[in-house]
Amino acid sequence: MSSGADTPNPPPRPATPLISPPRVIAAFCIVAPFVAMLWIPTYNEETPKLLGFPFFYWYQLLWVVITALLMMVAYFAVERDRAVRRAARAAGGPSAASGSSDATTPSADGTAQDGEGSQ
Amino acid sequence: MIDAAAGKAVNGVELGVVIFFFTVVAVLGFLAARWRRSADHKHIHEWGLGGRSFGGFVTWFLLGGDLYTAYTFVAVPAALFAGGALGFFAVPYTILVWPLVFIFLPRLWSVSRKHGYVTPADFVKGRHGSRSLSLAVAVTGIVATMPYIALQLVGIQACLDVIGIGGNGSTFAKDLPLFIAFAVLAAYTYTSGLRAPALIAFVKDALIYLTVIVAIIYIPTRIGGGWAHIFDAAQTRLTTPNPTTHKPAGSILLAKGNAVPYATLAIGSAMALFMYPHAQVGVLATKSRNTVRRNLAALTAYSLMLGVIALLSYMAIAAGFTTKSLNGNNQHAVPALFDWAFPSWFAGVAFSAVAIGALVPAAIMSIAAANLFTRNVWVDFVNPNATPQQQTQVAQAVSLVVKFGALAFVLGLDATSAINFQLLGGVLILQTFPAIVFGLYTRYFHRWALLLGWAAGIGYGAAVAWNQSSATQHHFGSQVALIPWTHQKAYIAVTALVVNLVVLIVTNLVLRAAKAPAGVDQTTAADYEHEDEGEGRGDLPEITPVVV
Repeated sequence: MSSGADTPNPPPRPATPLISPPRVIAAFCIVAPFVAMLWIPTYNEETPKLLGFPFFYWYQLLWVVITALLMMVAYFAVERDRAVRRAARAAGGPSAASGSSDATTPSADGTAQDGEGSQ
Repeated sequence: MIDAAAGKAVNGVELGVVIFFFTVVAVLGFLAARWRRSADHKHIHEWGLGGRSFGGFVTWFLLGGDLYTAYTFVAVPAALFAGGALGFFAVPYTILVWPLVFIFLPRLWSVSRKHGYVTPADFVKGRHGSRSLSLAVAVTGIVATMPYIALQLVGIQACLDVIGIGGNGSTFAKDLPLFIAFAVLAAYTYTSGLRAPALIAFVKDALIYLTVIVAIIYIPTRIGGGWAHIFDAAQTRLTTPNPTTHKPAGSILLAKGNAVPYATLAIGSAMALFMYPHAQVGVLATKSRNTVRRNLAALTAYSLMLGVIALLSYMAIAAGFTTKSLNGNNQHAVPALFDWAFPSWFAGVAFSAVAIGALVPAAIMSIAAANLFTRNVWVDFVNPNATPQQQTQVAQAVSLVVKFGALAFVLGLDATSAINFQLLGGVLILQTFPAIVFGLYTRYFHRWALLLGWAAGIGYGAAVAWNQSSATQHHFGSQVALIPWTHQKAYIAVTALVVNLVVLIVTNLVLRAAKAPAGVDQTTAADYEHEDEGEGRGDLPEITPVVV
């Protein structure tokens, strides 16, 4: 479900858990719009109105904005997760099992990048 | 006031403005060939993917070109104008596109970059080791793209009709402006490849945002009574029973039984969008794995605009337009509203926005279809030894053929409900979803099972769509049909996908049990996380030299 999920048979790697808090956050951000938009009985209403717009219309337009924010959160969550995993892999080598706790600092360069080429 | 929209005479000012912008765009299109040109400019990666060098800024415009098309300006408003709330499914559709993109497109980007895939069918061939499955994906992509291009032509035609050229004259005089617009489009796509629409997308988006913002502020003041009045007028018109059928056209809320069609139209269209070759071209042309993901929040701006444009149709109702006063063509709703509300010169700007907004995606679509044909039909089955230069030549020629195919589509079929064109394309293209998206995650599914599922989905979808009649046509009249053995309607694409999946799962179990030979997988798990570091670094778009 989570975006960066590994294929079923990944090569042996240091043990960063498959389900990590950033991945849970990203998964939530990705699933939420589907639940909201496909659950039509929750919004097929005329009231409450906003600036003359029936609820049906302004609610869905509002979800465009909400989805934009969720995508931003999901992006940063996934970037952080990737940086953590990369650091774990680099620090631990093939036998390491606990690389994730001290790996928050390298994530800064993962989130603030503005072009992969610069790395 | 309403008769003005019927366009008895040519509006010279409007036409002049449109011709001006069209000329600017045509010049830009030809100059685009020199934009960020590389030494290797005859290679198909150059022509077909713009050298795979587009950063976030260009990508935002280019991907916008996939969503912001005549679909947005003409087809969706026509659907709301005719039937009310159901047509608004385009908003949840374009919302759901983005999380889907977030999930799987980075993986597709990575594996495509690693192995040099140019098309989704390239990936399918590499992943599943099946030329027949790859051919199925390629042919589906080419066929499904044609009605989508046709939709763009319908959009251009709607503007030309409202300006007053076309309409009553002879067939030749009627379609001549469309031919000219198309010939120019075809010529600069031929010479400049993907760089042309990428560059023109800047002009297009500037015009569209300007038009929409002005429309949303200015037109309600012309109508008076604010948004409450606009929705009330729409509700009154839509719920008034039709004198011949004694049924109301719709409502501004979803009627009972329309929730499932609404949901399936939204999710089906969303899943289908990035199966289209043209949408994937926009992604594969980016220079880094994260370009698209990083831009997603900004890309939703397009969805917001689409929602606002959709509501222009209710403004048209409030302004007094009816299907009759639009000469029976609901697709004139937004152009006619512009013509009525704006001074001629600004109506001309607005029409330019719509027309150029149709030309850009038409160019991207024809390039994508050409890539598909060249790589997955020509090279795989006709001339395996074609050099990259020869591939580019074939792709250029096919881009012309595809466009004229779409032109034939418009001239030959009833185009008064063009949203059906796009939805029909969706029915077909969605059947490639399992082969492409499941393939990004797993090889559990056997290549022959994927092919059989695809065939079942296409067969079911095409047959059901063919059997839908409407008041205006005997076949392909509607893309929403009853789910078998129920009284519930749903978007055919989704029902067909379920058929596809059932066949896929069953035949997959059989084939695996029988130990049928699985194809060779070129890819490894790491390829799906691949990041191309170092290549294409730092080349921000240099647009200043060519912007006029």
